[in-house]
Amino acid sequence: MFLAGCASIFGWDIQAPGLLSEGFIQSVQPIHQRIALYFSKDLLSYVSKDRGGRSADPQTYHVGESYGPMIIEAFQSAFDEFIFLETEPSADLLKQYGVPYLVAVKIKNFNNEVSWSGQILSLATETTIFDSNLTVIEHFESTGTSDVKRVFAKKGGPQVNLNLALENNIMSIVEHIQDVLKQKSNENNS
Amino acid sequence: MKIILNLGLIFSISLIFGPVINASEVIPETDSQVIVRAHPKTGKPYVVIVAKDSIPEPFFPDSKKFSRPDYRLLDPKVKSGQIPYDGPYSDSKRIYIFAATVATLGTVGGAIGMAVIPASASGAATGGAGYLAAGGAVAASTVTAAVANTAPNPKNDDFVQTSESKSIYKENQKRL
Repeated sequence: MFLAGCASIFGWDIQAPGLLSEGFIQSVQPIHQRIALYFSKDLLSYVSKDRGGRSADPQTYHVGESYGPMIIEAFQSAFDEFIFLETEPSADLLKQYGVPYLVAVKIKNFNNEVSWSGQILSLATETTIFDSNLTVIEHFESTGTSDVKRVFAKKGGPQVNLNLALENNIMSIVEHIQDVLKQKSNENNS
Repeated sequence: MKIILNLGLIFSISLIFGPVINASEVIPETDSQVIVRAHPKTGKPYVVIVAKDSIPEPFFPDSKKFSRPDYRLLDPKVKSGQIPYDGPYSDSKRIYIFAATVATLGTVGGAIGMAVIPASASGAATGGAGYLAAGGAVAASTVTAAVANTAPNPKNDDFVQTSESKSIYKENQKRL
């Protein structure tokens, strides 16, 4: 019991590599669009201690510190004219720089399910697309999941599993935004 | 180099963004400036708008550079080490050794043990093996308990979903 208690004090400290895979870079087709991305700096410190089961080993997932660089890299790949906002957005600011669309992302929930055979990680986010007047044109929720067996048996297994869950979430966001902007473009042309 | 990227590459805003603005439109100036930052992981530059009144601090903390992840590593048929991985990892052996040290020797003894182990490599290896066995027993018991908690969950079977995105609403309102 004492041993188990001590082991539960420590556990797994899991940081993803924080890079997109080659598969992501190759599968996303960039569109010619100026777009700004904003997220609060608090996102980078988002940590989950969800151990995935009451008796599982403690696990600390450093979600935000990897998610931030990954979503910026995704926007670099998906949009020709990408701008990152490190200051609070305003309609005046968007107009000054000729930014027609602003995307704001925040993390909603991180979930971990550990079973005997493997682990399921999922990340849910909320994304809002604004026009240059800061009027909402789309608000959506995305979930990226990675379901892997025998993950803890490998060096880098939990880390890469986390990376994949984040990447799947980001893929979902990017595709959703591209679909919305293509639809907007078609509406404007017709 | 980072200082140069963060501070030196401040561009003329009007030259870059001017053509989008109509000549008759009056655009209020905001307290902002444009800089170029290097991506913290890839080094690829990107445009950033920051507050004007201060020297921009790094947005991301310094981080190590790793290779892109290869998800074949997650294939259950692939054994540990078959796919190269140079990213961060949690060394569970070291954690269990430390936990077992504390469990065996107590807080003070554990601190002494941790101080001694690095100074004596062979002693650390021998002791580590013993501690690891204890740690392994801990791991086995916790995994078994985890199964008891999660096995009835039907969501764990045939789980194939990887990503999903759904609209919550579309409406004309200002909010952030």
